[in-house]
Amino acid sequence: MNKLSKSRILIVEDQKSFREAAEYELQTLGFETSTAEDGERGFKKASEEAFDLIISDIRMPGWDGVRLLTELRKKNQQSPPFLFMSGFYDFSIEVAYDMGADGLIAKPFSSDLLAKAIKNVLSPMVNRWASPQSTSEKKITGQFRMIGDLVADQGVSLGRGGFFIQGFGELESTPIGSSVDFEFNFETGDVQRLEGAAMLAWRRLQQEKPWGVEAGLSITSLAPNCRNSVIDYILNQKLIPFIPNHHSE
Amino acid sequence: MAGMENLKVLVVHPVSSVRHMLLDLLKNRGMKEIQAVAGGQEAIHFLEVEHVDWLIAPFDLGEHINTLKILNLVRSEPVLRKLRVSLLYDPTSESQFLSLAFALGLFSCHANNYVRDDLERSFDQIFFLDRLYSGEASLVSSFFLRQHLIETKNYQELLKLDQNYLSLFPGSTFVLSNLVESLAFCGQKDGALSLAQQIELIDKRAGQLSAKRLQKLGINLRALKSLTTQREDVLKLQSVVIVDPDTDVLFAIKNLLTEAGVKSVETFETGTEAMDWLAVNPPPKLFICEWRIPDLPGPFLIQRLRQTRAFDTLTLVCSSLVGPEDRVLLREIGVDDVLEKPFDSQVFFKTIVSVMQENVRPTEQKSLHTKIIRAIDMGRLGEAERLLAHVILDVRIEASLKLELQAEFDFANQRLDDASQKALHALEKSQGSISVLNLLGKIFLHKKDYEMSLKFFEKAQAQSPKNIDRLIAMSQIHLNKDDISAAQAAVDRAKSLDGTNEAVAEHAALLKLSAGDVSASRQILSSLDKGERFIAAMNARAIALVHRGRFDEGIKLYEDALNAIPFSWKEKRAAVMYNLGLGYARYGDLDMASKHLHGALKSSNKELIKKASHLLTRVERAVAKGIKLHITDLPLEAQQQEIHMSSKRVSKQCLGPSSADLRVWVEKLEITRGDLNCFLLYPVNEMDLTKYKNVLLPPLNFAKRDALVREGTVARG
Repeated sequence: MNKLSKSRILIVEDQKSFREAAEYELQTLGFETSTAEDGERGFKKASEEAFDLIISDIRMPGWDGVRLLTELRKKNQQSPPFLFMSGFYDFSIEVAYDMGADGLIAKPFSSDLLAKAIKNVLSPMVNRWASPQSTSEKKITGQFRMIGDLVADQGVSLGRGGFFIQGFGELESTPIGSSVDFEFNFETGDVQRLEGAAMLAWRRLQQEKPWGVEAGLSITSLAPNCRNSVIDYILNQKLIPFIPNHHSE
Repeated sequence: MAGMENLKVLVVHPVSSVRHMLLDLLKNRGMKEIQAVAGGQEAIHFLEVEHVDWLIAPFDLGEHINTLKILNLVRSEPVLRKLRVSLLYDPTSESQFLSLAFALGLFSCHANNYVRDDLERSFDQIFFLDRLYSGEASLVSSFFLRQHLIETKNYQELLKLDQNYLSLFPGSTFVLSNLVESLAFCGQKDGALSLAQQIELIDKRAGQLSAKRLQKLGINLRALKSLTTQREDVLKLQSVVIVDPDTDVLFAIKNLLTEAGVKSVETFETGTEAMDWLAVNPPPKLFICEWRIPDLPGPFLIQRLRQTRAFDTLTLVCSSLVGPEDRVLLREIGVDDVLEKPFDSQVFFKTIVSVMQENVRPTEQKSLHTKIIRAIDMGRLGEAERLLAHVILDVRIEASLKLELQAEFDFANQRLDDASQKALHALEKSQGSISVLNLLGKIFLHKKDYEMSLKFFEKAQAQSPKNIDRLIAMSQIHLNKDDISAAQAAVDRAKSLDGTNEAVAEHAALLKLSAGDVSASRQILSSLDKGERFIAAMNARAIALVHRGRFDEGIKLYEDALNAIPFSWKEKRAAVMYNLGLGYARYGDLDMASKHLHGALKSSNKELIKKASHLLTRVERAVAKGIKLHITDLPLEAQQQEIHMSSKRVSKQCLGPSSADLRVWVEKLEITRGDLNCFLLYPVNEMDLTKYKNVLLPPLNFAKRDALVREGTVARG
């Protein structure tokens, strides 16, 4: 691998067999690793040493993975990237993204998917989103006053890795994981254009509410004409959610 | 059923304005094929010659015909089994018949006060419920019966009805929500609350709706702190075994299932521990496992589970590591579903509920196939035949599957020629389905056509190379062909997949024995607990050798087996000694026969002692008189097989189902719970039968026409 493999990764996992399996796999991929048996020890280690990525189990004695993530984000909103690794989660995926997790991987993991997920979160936004746009058939467009504004029950809120939208009924039957092109224009604010491709990460149907579909999309590429302004906005606003799960007021 | 719009309707009413009102009403709701007649006799004639899906009629149709008699006719005439009957009743004088009508299979009831708006509203409920319940007629019907029972304050019967529905639709939030209501009506407040909490656990949205329904009855779920009531097993799961190296997953699933009321949940981190438990406990209703388990991976764990004869256990694989290449094997080993990790509680319950419901009432081709094979494996041939009738008469199911399942059924009944013809036909239509290939392998193995059998097994194995049982069968065939090295190669392949599988070890022991390596065979057997498969295969091999005139080799195999079988396997040794004694007796070596028959007398099996002493008497008498013995007795283990083989018969050419064949299957259609609205779910009140005897008798005459049989074979559900 390249520079990425010099990265240091902290593995937080209470079950020895999985901790060792993850450590072995990451070392095989060429990463430097360190481990902790629970959230509190993990937090202590992360406070004392610098890590490029933290991969953590959810359910652990003492501080669980959620507490670890919350405390980490209190100290630093955006880094290091954080991945949950679990077979089961007590909360929904949208909550995990909103808390500031950069992703969720299954345990036991597949080596390929683990390597892919790590490569993705470790590459800087400017590189991660530079790949050419997808040509998916589904495209959503909208014109708003500014990011985060809700007009006629439609709106877009940005996170570190994706965005929350509501009022796009066309997403009602789009399968989770499929690719969607988007193009949003904003009249005012630091971001005036948000254009690119994304993956549908989750969807909620709020039948009681008139605006219906709510969804979280993870950005896979951004058009060159908006890429820098969007990244500047994310860094300046110190956004915690990777994908928000509601509208930022 | 694909939408109510496609049903063929017959409206019966003496009053022409009512007929027209109904015709209009149905046309406006998109129904295309509607016919109307005025009287009962006309209606019966229509049913005799035309296929009808839905009959709408008043209680009294004149000419001594009434709806109750029609309902009896529907149940007694297999061609009418799918007919839905809706009743237009006079609320002032005919409500008394409703309970009995539903018990006899009524679909819906509608009070007829000749007001168009009221009737429209009442019929709209059918269309709405049909969509809500995805065309499940028995659920739609239960809505109307429940309404009647609530109006007449018959709450105990309501509760019983809802409980019966739960056993048919385990975990259904619709049914559970009804049950909450009936518990509340019966004054069982705690039970209602506890159940409402469980619904919320299974499906948050349904839980909220159910809580609202309770609130209307004056019971507030939120006010409740803790409950001491015993939890209902809402999923009807009874016992579950979970194997996952991830303790978090074990903990989470156990917790969820316990909350859902499952009484017994066993968790294991390793496959070996799970197998140890399964060896001494009854098989669970549901077996959940990860695909990647370090000591014994999921695919082999499930095959071992099946080897313990747990054919009926439902299996769910929870893993993100099941690849597309595993799909064929999943089907072969009978995995009911795969749940992708990571998952949350809602997805988990959704999966379990669908697995349970498909098991009780299979709607998908795959589940019907699985269910029939399971019934055959469990020796429940009657159940298999009933399910098969449904499959054969279901127009949506592919012809290849119908042929395949008939072939499985024929094979289970040892009709090998019928089975092979149908299976070959199915193979042609299915373009090489693995289950058909495997079946053909088994059929030709039983026909002792080893070349053909091997050919089919090899094709199947190429598609799904991790099937242990098939590798053993292939090794067995090579052995029968005296190709020990090919037999060894197949067993080595099985060992490389699952090195500690007992069935593989037992077969390996037989191979060593056949190659004359008694000590290696002894070593393998001494590490095993049981060895039934070894004994059976060894006997089959010895008998095959004798049949082929290789008497010495057969005798030697038995002798070697006695040297290899551990001394602690007393009964098995005794059985082998009997067979060996029998062999010697046939061979004419009466001294040796006597010696081994004496050995067999050490058994504690009365049947065996009786056989051995009977034969011994004959041997000793022959020795004393110096005469030759003529032996016709069969060796143990071989008897069943011979009986089955002799029952085979020559079959007619298989040309696909003819009209006459279909009629045979129609006659086999039995009505079970859920097939005909509330029938069997809401019991008939014997007092009603006596009270309305005059209304029910005499029964209607019905002369079905042949054309109906073919046309009437539509899907259920």
